[in-house]
Amino acid sequence: MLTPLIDGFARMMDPWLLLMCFLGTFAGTLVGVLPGLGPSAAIAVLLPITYGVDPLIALVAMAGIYYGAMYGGTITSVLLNVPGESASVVTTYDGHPLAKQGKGGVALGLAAIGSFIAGTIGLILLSVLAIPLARMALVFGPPEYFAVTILAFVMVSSLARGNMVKSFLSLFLGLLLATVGQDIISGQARLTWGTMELIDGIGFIPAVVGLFGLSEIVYDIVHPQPEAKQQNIKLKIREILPSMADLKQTWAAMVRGGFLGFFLGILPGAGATIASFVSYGVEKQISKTPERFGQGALEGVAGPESANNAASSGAFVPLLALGIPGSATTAVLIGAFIILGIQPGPRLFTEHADVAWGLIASMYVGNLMLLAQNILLVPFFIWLFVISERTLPVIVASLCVIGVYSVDNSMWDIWLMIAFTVLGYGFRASGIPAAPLVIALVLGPDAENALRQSLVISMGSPTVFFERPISLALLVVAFLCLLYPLVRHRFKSVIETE
Amino acid sequence: MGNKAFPLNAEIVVSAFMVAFAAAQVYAANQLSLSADYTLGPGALPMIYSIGLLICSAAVLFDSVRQGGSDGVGEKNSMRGVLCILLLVLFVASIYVVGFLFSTILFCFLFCQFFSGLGLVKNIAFSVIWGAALYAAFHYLLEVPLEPGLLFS
Repeated sequence: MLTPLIDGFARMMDPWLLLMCFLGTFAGTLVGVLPGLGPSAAIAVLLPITYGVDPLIALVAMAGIYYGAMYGGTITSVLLNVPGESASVVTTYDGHPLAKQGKGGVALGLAAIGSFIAGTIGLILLSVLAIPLARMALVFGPPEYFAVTILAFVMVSSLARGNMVKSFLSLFLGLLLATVGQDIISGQARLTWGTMELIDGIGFIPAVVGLFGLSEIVYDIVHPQPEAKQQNIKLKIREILPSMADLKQTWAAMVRGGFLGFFLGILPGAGATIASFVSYGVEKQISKTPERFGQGALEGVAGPESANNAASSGAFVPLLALGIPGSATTAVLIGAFIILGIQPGPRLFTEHADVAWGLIASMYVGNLMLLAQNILLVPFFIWLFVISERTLPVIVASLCVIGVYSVDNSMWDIWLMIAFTVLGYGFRASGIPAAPLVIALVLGPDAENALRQSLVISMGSPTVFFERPISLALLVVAFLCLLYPLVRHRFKSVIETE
Repeated sequence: MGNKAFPLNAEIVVSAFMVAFAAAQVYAANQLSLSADYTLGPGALPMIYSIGLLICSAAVLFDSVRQGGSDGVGEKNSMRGVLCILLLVLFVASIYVVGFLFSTILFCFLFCQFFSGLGLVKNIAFSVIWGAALYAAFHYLLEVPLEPGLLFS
C-alpha cells in the first residue's frame, strides 16, 4: 500500500497537479460558502471544461471541489447562519451562537482543524480499505456485479431521507432513460421515437448539468432567499486559532466524528449530511452537559464538521473499489471518470494505479491546503460570498450552456440540458430526489449488461443470483435495506401512538 | 400583481407528466422483443422500468391529489421561474441566429435586468465583459468551434 501511495505523492509534485489541487479545493470551499451551488452542480459545470485533458488533472480538481465543499459550508453557517451545504446545516446549531458570543473565529478554527484531522483519518482508512475491497471484487462475475448494483440502487433509494416512493420514481426514471439508444446485444434502437440524436443514448453531461447546475439556479430564482447583508466581519488569524484548552475539549469529538463519518460515508444513500447529524446526536448524547448544545457547544461544531469531511473520504471507497456511487456528487464523479476514459471499480488499482493513487495522494495534499485556506482566507471567502450573490446565477447559467455545447459541439445537447433543467426543477419543487436518477443513469447500462450476461451464463435461469454466495448475500442485504424504511416508519408510528 | 398562491402544485404536475411519460414508454417498449435466446430481449427492462415508473408516479399523483392545495410558491415567484426558463430558451434559440458571443451578452443583460437588480450601466458592463471573456476562453483558449450564427457565418 505504501509504495503506490508514495508514487502517488511523487506524481503530485507535478506543479500542474498542485495548481489544480489548489484551484479545486479553493473552488470547493467557494461552493460550500455559496448557497445555491452544490458540489454536484460545480463538478457538473466543470465536467465539460475538463473534457479531453489529462484524467488525473481533471479528477484532482473535481475531487477537490467535492471535499473542499465540506470545509467551505462551515464559514457561512457559523458567521451568517446561512448553511452553504446541507451537510453544514447542523453546524449552525452551535456555530452561529458561538459567533454571536464573539467566538466565531474559534468555531471556524476548530472546524478546520477537525475537518483536517477527520479527513486524514478518512484518507488513511480509504488507503487501507480500498485495495482489499477491490481485490475481493476482482472475483466478481456478472451475477455479483448485478447484485452490487441492485444493492446500490436500493440503498440510495431507501436510506435517503424523504419519501421512498419518490426515490423509486427517480430511480425508475433514471433506469428507463439509461436504456434509451441502441441495444448493444440486438443492435435495435430502443425508446428513441425515431430521433437520430437519441441513438447514442441520453448524454450524461447534459443530464447532470441540467439536473444540478441550471435547475439549482431556477429553484433559487423561484424561492429567493433574503440577501445576506454586508456584515462587518473582521477576523484575525489569532482569533481563528483555538487555544490548547479548546483543542483538549474537542479532540475526542473530532476523532469520533472522523470514524463515524467515514463508515457512514461508505454507505450509499447515507453520506455527509446524515454523518453530520448522527455525529451531533452522538456528541449530545455522551456529553455530561447536553444543555450546552444549541447554545454554543464547541463539540457541536467540531464533531459534525469532522464527520462530514470523513464521510467524503468514505464515499471514495465504494467509488474507487467497486465503481458504485453513493450520492449524487459521487455519481457525477463516476460519470467524470468514465468520460475521461477511466473505469472505476476493482481493476482501477491495477489498470490505472497511477491515477487511483495520485488521486488519493492529492486528497492528503488537498486537506492540508484546505486547512491553510480555511484559516487564512476566511475574510476573503465572506467578501466573495457577498459580492457574488447578484452575478453568480448568470455566470453559472452561461457557463453551463457554453460548457455543454463544447463537449460535442452539439446544439442538441443544450436542448437536452434545458429539458433536464425543467425536470430537475420539477423534482426539487416536488421533493423528488435527483440522486437515484443520476446513479441509475451511470450504473443502469452496466446493471443491464450484467443481468443479461448472467442469464446467458445460466442458460436463462434466474436462480444464478441465489446460487452464488456473494450475490445471494448482497441481494439479502438489499432486501433488508428495502424493508428498513418500512420498519423505521412502523416503529415511529408505534412510538408516536404510545 | 399580488403574490397569491400558484394554482398548480408542482408535485401534481410532475407526477402527472411522469404517468403520461411512463405510459408512452410502456407502449414503445411493447414494440420491442421482450425475450431472446436464454436472456432478456431489448424491450424487457424498458418495460419493467416503465411499469415501475408508472406505479410510483401514479402513487405520488394519487397522494398529491388527495392532499390537494398549492405548494406555497407565490404566483409571482412561479412566474420568475417560467421567465428564467424562457430566457434560457431564448438564449439557445438566438445562438442559431447571432452566434454565441452576442447571445451570451444578450442573455446576461436580460437575466441581470430581471433577476439581479444591477444598475443599467453596471449590467451592460458586466454582460459585455463576461460574455466576451467567456467567448474568448472557449473559442481561443480551448479552441472550441462555437456557432457563429446565421448572421455572421
